[in-house]
Amino acid sequence: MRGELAGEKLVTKFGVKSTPFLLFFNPDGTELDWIAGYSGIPENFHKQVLAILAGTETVASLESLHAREPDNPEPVIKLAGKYQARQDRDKALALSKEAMSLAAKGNRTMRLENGEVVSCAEMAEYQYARTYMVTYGIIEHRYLRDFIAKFPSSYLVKDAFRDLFGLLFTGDEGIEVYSKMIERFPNDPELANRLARYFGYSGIAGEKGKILDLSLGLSENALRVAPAVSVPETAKNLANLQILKGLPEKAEETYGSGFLAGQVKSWANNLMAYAEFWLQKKRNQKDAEAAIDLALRVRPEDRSLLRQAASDYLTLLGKPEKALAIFGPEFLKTIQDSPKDLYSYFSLWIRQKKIEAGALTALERLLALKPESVYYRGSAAYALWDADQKDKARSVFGPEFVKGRPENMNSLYEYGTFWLRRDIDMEEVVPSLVKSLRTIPKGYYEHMQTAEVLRKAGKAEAALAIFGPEYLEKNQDNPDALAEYGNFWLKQKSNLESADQALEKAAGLPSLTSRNRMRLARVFLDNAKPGRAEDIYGPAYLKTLGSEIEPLLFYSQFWKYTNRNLFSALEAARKACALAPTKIEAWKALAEICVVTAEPKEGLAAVEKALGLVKDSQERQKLETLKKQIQAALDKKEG
Amino acid sequence: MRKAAFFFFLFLIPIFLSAQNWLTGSLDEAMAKAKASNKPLLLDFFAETG
Repeated sequence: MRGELAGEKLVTKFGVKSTPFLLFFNPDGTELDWIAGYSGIPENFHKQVLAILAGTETVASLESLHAREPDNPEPVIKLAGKYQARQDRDKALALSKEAMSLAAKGNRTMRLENGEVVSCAEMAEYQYARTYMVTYGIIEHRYLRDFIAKFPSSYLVKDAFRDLFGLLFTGDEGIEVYSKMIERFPNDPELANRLARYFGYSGIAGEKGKILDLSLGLSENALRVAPAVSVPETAKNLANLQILKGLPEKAEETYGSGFLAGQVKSWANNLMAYAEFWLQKKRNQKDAEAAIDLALRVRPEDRSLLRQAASDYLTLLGKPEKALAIFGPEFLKTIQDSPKDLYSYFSLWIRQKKIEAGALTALERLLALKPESVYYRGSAAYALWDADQKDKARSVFGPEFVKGRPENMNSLYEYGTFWLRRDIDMEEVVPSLVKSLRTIPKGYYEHMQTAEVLRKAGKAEAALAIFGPEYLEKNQDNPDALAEYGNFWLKQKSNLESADQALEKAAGLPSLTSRNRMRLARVFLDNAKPGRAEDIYGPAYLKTLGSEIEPLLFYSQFWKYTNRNLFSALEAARKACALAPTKIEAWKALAEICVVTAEPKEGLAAVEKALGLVKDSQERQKLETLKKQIQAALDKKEG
Repeated sequence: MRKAAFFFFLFLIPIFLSAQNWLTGSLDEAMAKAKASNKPLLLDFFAETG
């Protein structure tokens, strides 16, 4: 179990980076295969497990096929996918590259799980590009965009656009990405929904220009096409064809009870979505309430639906009597053996500050069923604290709980972080946290945040114990941890020698990325060491930058922002423009740096280039303002 | 709660997983049992999410 040393060692030993994760071994102890995540319906998951046990396309069998057929890219592509799922970016990239070079030697094709046939060349490139979007590390989208440009008619282009929704593109970049997507898929309902959902994100609230129009048009087109296609009818027709073909079992799979259950669930969800949409907009209230009532009739046994409806009755309709009727004391009697439902009942009513006695009864029952669960105790403590039941929170997740578990580091950590921020029971909380973080270290951010709170609480010694020289010693190869450590202590004006050691250690690491260098330079500048900032991220480094545009633009913007090293920043922007003459950001960066380096003539030419490329009206306005500024500087210089 | 607890379990996989023999003890012991009974072994890492 996590929080115990033995469990943590296994997580490290097998490089588990996300859960759920299932690792299969051969009887001889060698790794057979793995499954990352429980996705899809249980039957499909079961099939996956059975396939592994049968040795079908396991890591082991793919490796053995690769050994027998070293020129065949297919097993290498599939292996890359396995490592991608395991979040091993380096290995997935290396395998994809190997597959790309094998695929380039021939014209092999491969069949995807859904039956589509694609060339190994495009599949290998797609696998390579998407690795940068779906594995841990800095997310980079340009590889997928390059893939789309290189294989515009590939079947995989839709997958690539789907992957790109991992990011939200704004401004000109958004217009470019989404216009290309719509050009290729002018009425695709799935992509239409994804793009429309984009406007549900609060960070995009200001993005109401061209991208809103694009999304509107795509959704209209998609809806025009969608009613012509009835999925149930297609399923029925397919089942009929399968029966005619003598495949009644397949027909069951296509259009049997599983299909119907999925449809019913979907009806209920759609009714709830309809109701909540209108209730939140304070319109069609009567209709919305009727939709909730109907959803409950469609799936009366669905407990999460009951909770959702109760919450809507309470918060959106102001009808507590209806909430109590479906999710009140009578309902509680039916969930006595279900921890999940007991917690759901407790948290709803305690937060609503209604039937609190009933809520606490549910909590008691839950803790009797799951006395050791840090998850439920911690979550309950949060809910109780928010509901002003502070004593109760302490009795559920206070010192008594950890006293009985002195070696459970997860309990100590969660308990410690919860109470540290509330400045309660510090005599027990501080040693618990220190013990937990020293026994099983977490990421640098957790150590740094905890150290900061500890120092604010006057516990300087404890802060040093978890984020001091001992921590530094154990993180000698981690540039981010070293930079943040150095920055933290320099800002605190304490532990200074160790802070300097950390920064120098980071600066000397052999494989620093452009971002690592930029962060270090920032720390050096903030702490009055401009010379060291230039050593690590100055003109000498610029000379080593190849043809990648983004590092050049970051470099230029960094030095412009810090108002230092400006001619080197100018050089970087010029290089970016030469390498990517159609990139607006490059011309804009050049124009901006020309303003501060007193090169208005070149700046004017750059801003005009950018204006010639820009499509977004807001961005055009900004560029026009910049142009006026540069023109004024030029007039002054010449006149 | 921000972070979920995280567990792992081990079990030997008999044909079709029809009877799941969850093992307790160390991974080494489980590996030895798997080898002795010539069965694959599954190590399940998962988060407690309620």
